[in-house]
Amino acid sequence: MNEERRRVFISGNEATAEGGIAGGCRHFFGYPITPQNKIPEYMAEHLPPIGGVYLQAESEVAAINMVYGASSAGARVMTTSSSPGIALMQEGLSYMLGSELPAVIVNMVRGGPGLGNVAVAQSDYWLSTRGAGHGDGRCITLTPYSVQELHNFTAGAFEIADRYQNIVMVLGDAILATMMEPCELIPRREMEPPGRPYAVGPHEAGERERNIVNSLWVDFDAMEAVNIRNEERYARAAAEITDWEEFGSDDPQVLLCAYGISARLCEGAVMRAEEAGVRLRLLRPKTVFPFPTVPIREWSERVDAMLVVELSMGQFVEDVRLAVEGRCPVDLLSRAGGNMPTVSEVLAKVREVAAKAGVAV
Amino acid sequence: MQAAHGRGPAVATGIKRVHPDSVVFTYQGDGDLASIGMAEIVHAASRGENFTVIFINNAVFGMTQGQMAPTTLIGQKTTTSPRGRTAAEAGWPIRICELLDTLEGPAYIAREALTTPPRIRSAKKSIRRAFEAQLAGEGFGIVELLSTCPTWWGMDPLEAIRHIDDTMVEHYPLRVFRDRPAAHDRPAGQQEEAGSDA
Repeated sequence: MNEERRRVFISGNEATAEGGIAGGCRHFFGYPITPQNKIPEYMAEHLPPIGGVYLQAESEVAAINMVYGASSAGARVMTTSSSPGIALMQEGLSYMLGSELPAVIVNMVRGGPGLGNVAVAQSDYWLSTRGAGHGDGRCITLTPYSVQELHNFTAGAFEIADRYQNIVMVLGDAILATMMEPCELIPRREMEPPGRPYAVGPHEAGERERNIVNSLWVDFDAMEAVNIRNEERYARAAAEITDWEEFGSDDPQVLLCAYGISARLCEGAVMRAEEAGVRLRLLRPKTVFPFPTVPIREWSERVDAMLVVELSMGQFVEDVRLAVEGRCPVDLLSRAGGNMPTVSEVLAKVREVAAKAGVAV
Repeated sequence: MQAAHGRGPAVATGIKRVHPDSVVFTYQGDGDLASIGMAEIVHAASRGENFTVIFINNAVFGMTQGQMAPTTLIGQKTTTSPRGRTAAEAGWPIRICELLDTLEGPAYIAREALTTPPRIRSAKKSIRRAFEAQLAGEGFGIVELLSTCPTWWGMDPLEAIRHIDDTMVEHYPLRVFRDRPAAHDRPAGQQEEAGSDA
């Protein structure tokens, strides 16, 4: 196929919306919330002219239940929101995990708890990786760190959601959402006809058995079977799609661990590592559920210390510590409320961590 | 397709927007539709979503074993209004059809009672008409059905039926509120055998 990719200068929100369309999504249900309003606005502009559906729901609760309905009808469907809105969607997310349905959800994380603010934060790590809602269920969670990755990950999220029949959460933030960068656009994929084997919808009598989409399992063993099937999905996903990138010294003394916008910042720190006098390497997960446990465990046997940089009081760091299992010290540099450390502050912390671990600096 | 409590109209919206040619309906009780799902029903109706709502109003939360619903009548005893509902404590029972009748979106709105054979035949006619409206693409239709709950009303079945006809219909009048494009105000509960359902 002749795929000439158009390079444009756009915001993360627009790249995300166009990523959805590129991934074959033609049904979008959403509700306004800052800092992601440009996404529903983009969908309202672009979906109806190409035969898609854009609908502004009366609330995030309704939006996620419309997604639930559209997914049960076999469509590639997405919604986007920001932290307080994602909290409201927990009910529908849980029902979709219970009904084993795919969907793509984007969270442009903002400060919290409560109404918080509309500035950058990474404080929904637990909400995304430990959610969604009640019960045993997890969202596959992707962590882009650029406008280009927002675009690519959102487009690719539909394949992942379909493959595992599970929700895929794209975890952005207020900076990624609103900043502008060059982005190479993936050509728009055609809408697939909504005829999934599990879906409700029109069919000829006798053509197949009637499908029932349901998350109510009164029978103990039937409920447990759903829990076990979901767990098997997550094990398959861990083996097949765990993704991360590394950058910096091949013989590091300190390993930086960061995802999303923090990883972007840490790249700058690695480039200026000589200022700290420490050999530095960055490991940045592109998926945090499934989590890159194996490479972090391997590095924990070779480095003197690790430093986690995140824009929360310490959520992602817990998964790093679970992977390290005490093999090396894991320190944390955190800012919150819309604040970010500077590259110099990261380097100062690296020096401190290295000195504590006995590295000659 | 099993929706979360109250979210039927949102889920049905999602399905209908994917399959506009499929017949879609929700089946909702009064706790579901008039309490937790109030936002979803009002907005689906206001958008004129082209599906049908069957609304069972028995003025009580039956499945959770007899608690007060938003439709529970003043004075009615439930497990959470043990001395009888008072307006001072819990406000007044909500009339859904009248509320939705203030919106432009709905094509068909009717309240019927499942008590006597003529009223049941009338209810059947309203349900048929609501689905015809959907098939004709006229938009949102809702049929409210006053129904008994002998168990949580503490009545035997015949008493419960009499309770609807004697008491419930005073607060919830039987009527076709909206029948677009047909004429409004067709008297419900007595279309086939007018005056003979007493």
